[in-house]
Amino acid sequence: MYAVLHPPNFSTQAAAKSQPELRRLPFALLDGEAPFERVYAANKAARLLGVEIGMTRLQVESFAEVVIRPRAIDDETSAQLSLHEIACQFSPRIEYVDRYSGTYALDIQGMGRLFADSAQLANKLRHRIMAAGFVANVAVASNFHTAVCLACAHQGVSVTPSGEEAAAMAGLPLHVLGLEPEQEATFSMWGIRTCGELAAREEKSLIARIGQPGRRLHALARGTWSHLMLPMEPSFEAGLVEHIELDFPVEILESLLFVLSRMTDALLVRAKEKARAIALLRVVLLLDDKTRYERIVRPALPLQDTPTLLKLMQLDLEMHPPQAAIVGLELHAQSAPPHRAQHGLFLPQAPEPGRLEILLARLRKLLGEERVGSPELTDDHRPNAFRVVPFQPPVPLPAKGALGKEALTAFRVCRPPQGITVMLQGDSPFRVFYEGQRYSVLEVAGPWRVNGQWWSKDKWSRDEWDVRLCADSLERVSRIAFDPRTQRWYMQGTYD
Amino acid sequence: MTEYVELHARSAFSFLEGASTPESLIQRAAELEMPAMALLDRNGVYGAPRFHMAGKKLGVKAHIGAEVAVSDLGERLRPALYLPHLHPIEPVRLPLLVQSPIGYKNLCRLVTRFKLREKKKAEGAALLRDLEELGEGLVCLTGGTEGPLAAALVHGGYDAAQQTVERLVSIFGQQNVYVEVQRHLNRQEEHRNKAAIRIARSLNLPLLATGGVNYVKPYDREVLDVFTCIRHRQSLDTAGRLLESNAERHLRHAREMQQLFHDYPEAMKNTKELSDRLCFELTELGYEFPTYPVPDDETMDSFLRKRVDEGIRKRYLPKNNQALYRKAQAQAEHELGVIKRLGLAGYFLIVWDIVRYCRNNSILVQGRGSAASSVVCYALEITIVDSVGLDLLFERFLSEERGEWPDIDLDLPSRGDRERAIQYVYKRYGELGAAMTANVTTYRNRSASREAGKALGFDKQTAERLSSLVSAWEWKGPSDTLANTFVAAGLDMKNARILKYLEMCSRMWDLPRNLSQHSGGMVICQGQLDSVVPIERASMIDRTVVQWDKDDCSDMKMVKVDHLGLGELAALKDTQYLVRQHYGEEIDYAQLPQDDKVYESIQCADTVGVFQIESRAQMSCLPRTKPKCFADLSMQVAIIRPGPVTGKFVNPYIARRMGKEPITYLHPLFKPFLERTLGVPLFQEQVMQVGMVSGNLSGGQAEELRKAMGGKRSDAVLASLEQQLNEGMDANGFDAATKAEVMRILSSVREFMFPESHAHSFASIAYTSAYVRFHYLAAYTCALLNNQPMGFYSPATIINDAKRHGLKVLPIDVQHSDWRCTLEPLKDEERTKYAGPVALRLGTLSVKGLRQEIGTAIALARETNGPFESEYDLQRRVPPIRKAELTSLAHVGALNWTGEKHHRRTALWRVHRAAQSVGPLFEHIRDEEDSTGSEPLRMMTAEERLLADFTGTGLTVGPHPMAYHRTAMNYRQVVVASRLRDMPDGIYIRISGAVIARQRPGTAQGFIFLSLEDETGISNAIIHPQLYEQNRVAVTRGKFLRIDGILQNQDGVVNVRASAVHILDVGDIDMQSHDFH
Repeated sequence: MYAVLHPPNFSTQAAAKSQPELRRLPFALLDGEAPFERVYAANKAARLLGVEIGMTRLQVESFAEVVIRPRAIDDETSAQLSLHEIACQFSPRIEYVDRYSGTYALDIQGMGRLFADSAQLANKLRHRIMAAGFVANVAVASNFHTAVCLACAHQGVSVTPSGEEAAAMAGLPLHVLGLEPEQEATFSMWGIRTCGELAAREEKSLIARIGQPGRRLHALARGTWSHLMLPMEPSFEAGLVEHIELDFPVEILESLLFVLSRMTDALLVRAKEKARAIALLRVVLLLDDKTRYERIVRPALPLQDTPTLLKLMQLDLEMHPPQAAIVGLELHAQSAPPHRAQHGLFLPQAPEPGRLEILLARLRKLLGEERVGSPELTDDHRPNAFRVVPFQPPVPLPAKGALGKEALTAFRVCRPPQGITVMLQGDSPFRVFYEGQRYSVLEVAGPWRVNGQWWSKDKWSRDEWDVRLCADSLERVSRIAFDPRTQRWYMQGTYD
Repeated sequence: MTEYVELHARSAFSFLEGASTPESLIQRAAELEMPAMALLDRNGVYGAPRFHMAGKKLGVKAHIGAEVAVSDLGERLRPALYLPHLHPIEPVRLPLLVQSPIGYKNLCRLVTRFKLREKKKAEGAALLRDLEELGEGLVCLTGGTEGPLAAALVHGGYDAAQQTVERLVSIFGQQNVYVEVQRHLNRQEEHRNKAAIRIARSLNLPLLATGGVNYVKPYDREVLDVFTCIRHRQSLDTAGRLLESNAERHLRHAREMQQLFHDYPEAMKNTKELSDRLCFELTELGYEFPTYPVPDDETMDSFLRKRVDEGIRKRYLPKNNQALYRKAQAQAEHELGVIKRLGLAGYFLIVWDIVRYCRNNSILVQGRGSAASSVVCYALEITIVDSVGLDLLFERFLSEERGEWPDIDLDLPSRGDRERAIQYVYKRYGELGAAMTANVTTYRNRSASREAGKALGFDKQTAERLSSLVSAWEWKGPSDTLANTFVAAGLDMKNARILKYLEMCSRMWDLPRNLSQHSGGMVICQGQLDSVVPIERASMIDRTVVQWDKDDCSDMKMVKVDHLGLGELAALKDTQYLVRQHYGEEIDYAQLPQDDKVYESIQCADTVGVFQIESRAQMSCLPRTKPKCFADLSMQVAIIRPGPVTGKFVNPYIARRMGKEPITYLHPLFKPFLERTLGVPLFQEQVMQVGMVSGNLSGGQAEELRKAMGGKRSDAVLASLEQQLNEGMDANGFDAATKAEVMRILSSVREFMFPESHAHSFASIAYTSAYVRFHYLAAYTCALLNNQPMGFYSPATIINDAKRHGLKVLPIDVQHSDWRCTLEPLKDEERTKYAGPVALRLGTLSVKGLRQEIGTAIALARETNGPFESEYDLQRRVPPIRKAELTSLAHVGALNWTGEKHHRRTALWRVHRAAQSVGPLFEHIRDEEDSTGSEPLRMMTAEERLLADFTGTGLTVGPHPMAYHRTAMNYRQVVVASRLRDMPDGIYIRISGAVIARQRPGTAQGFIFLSLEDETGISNAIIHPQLYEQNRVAVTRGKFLRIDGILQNQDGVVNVRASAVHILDVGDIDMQSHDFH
């Protein structure tokens, strides 16, 4: 036997639950990106006024009395959790019915010891749901699909004795079967409106016309289509969690490492049982000031090695320490298949991944997050524009032909550019003051003008000059730049 | 004047590679006091006429040239390989300047050659051997970043660059190659310049400083960047190095250029020298009027004269009016004289030849526009308007003083026949002798907002939707600006990117976007058009197009013939055939009698489906103006146009026709030319004459006024003439009030008006269509349905109207219907019940989702092997038919008669089985159900049938949907359309019906006009803007409406001024409404 609970118009119920002021008003929930939202759901009062699902914001705004709210997924998730919990109280085997939001099917076979009969169970289930602030239909039938269809179509509680499914289904409209649009159009053309009318057709005739789906629909309409229940079980990934509450607040990170090590070990044991490694660790610290502090450690490759994972967490927490003492710890892991690599006999030896990861983490701690990695040129006119991407060892260059025919001039870039003082003669640099030295400009080429990003607030502009500078016996060829926006001069770099 | 001439500039006609119009470039050159300037657009001379015309006006010499892609000169310069970039591989482009008329011809031929080498519309590229052949008269520059020198330097170094320049010298000669240096404050460019200068010195070639200009002012770089994004389908954030690195490609003053090139003064000096060498101007186009091959003993003039003589006899002798005949002969003599002096005989003969081809191949053709003012055109059967009889002014068409060439527009039946005529011209005059004129698509509201949106990084869907936010009604309220649209859509106008977006939208407006082909304009120049203007492939197969639009062609004094498609002509041609087949009569459209009964039907606005006078506005005039003759009809056709409406000429004309207002003239001088239109100007010519007579304007000035009519320039033209008009009116003794009224009349040139000859041409088609509708309703309705979409009303409205006139309409039936609608003889017993000898059988073309080849195959299978026995039989005999098609046929009742008569649901039940594949083994084997059939489904109700009809075909042959609700409507005291005419003016009334037309004309201050149809006819409602604001959804989306309001029943014109609008629940019937937003 199955009991199905179905909260009609679930989204509006969820919204009304979190915003009780809506209960007495006609309201519509809009979904989509502004300004192109459309009505996703509307309560009965709004629908009576003429609001239809799919209307645009402009159209629904023409109904002055209808309150408009954006659809809140969080409200729906929380409402669904409430219903889930209630369902769990009535049966250990429950299944979520994807087709209808908030709908659960409960296997109530053998629940007779707790409840007198199915009707009582259904009534109690409904009362419990109503007590939680929702309206739901509950249907009981020995056929899973019949119960789902009845819950969607009949208000309140309906109990169908075994063997009477076909009669119970006969009066239901066809849409309860969850038809494809094409099937809906076909049946509408045929003038078949109820499950009873569909059940009255010969199965063979239906299959001859709409193929094998006809068999399924026919059986559904007669309440004989069987269902293999797949009860909801906690997932393996969801189980990769360890938590611990400390007896007293801890401020020193080192003292946590012992606990973290134990927790990581426990997680790894579980992961290894499934032949998996840890790809990500989410460290949640419950702080003394009642706040939660989260860090995510993501090794470059999935690891099965506690010391490395521990070291990575330690370095990360040292770089980003919490602001208060720690009173509890949670460790959430994400698993992945472990990394396996075939090393070539003649390829240069690369560092062992775990050690490389720790080295990079140490460097990040030392230099900062965005300063460790491999530089990559960007597609941008901005001088010396590059970005740092995750460390990637350079591909070994072929032995010959790497360089062009001509010898290239090397240019040493000042990062960041150094501020300098420049005296002008006409529009051209004449004297440069740099690092306490006064240089005369012997030769000058420029300006070379570059600017860009005019469409955003990152608008930039540079006038660059190549100059041969001379101070006493010291001579250098440099690139200096003027930023018209800040009216400042910079030393960009020096040519070798 | 300065010593610098800009010789390398691209305009927005380099489509997405330039950001300023040719006019603004040359305007800026004039401001900078440049004596001349050159325009070198990408692969063509698209902008040359505008550049030339603007230069002529501003006194700046316009040099012409182009940047021509050359595929075997290497790839265009791209950023170094180690730099990430998105530059595509393109061939280098060689800047070529035209030095002499031969050079211009060669350039045009060069571009044409490589453009036509492509199989379809494409950029294409020339080959060096083309340059060797066609290099004479051209001066070659080595180019900037797009050029061969920069590419060779980077790809192959100094030696390769030198070899490239040597190759150019060998092609163009030592005197005609200039080494170009550009300075855009770019380090790499300067590096290349150094090498270029070394090459120039070593080969003893002159240096030339150029700006490599892409836009007028530095600020325009932003538009260019957006264009670059559009061209490469990127956004500004992702385009990277595709964008400009700075804003230096603008037009500079000589002083600035001197500073930039202070170290190479000769490069500056050479610009002036080279400019002086370039002696070609676009006035020396070398265009000659097309010639027509005539027998050896004839000249074109004598040949034309003979044809005209024959025509005059043929046209006028049957009229039995000697005076008219003599007058026509005299007028023809006069016109032939003018034609001879202007050397236009070939042009007239070419048009005559096209018309003759059409006549010989049963293609209806008729000249429209000002050509109808010419008796020569009448005699050559180009037009059907007797210009002598109607006393039309030939000078409006052709005059020696005006120096403007004739423009003959031919109306041809849409689609196939028109294409046949166009292909005949291609065949007759060769691929290089005839081509379509171009149509320059510019960035308008919606396209600009969509593409600017994408470039600024809004996702595609958002950009599409934003562009759709732009108000689509023809009439725009003062608040309907793009900015307000964005605010209304909830966009944050303080956001910098959104503001930039809005700004870019407006800056891109009216800049060229791409070139397409004009709908029908053709230029012809016997075998040598490619030396006048480059020709390229159009996207349509077998079509070529010149690089100039029709205005440019006209500015360049080229004559063109317009082949315009007119659906009505196709309908009339079909009617002629059907009448011959089913009525046994032959209609000669040229000799239709003037029938009073036809005019009576027009007078009571019984004109659904009649050309030009079927619209709601026309119908509301007809009962008042009551046209009684052809001339009245011409005025009627001309009256509902933007010019007369905004000029407030309509109401006075109607009042005078009704005798409610005396016929007066603003000034006695106006009487001679306004007398026939009751003192009110209705035609273009009359407004011109008002100007000429009152303000003493010359013919040329009046002509300028006419040309500006309906265009953006009208205000400027009017302002320029204002002083002279005032002086003239003072001299003629006009008082202040009259002067103000004359100015008001002249200001109507802002909007479009018909020339009188054109009104006559259209009136003749209108009369013809009214005539055949009156006398051969079945044939005409059948032809109209077969040529949809056309006209004002949907097929459902046309059929309902025909049914009200007694036509029997038979449903779609695969046992009788062809693909097109057909006529079937009425049974004897039905003849008294219905009008005419035939009934109309709907064709399967109305069935939505049915392919034409299947419709035709069904008819063929039936004709070959007899009627279908069942749905299964049909499926077997027409195997390619799809399940969806069978279902559609069954759904609309077209299979009810296959085998024994059965209902639609049975047919549906059977087709679903028939269409289900049983596999090859059992394919042709009948089973039990096939032969016996089963009927397990219940019949459709009347409402279901109606719904199926409208869903499946958009129309029904059964009762009108409103008929099913009449009892309920009666209960609510709703009045049927046919009774409105008999109800008194001013009463409160309710009407209802399916909305068949919605209009919000630009001239009606936001009022909306709705036409509702019920089973008895059409009723009209007027919606006040305020009521519209309150009921937007009902007015714009409601399929069936009930409207309450005050009845206006004046002079036979019936309207309801709405005070309330309600949507009626009549089911999900999808009635089609023709909405003119």
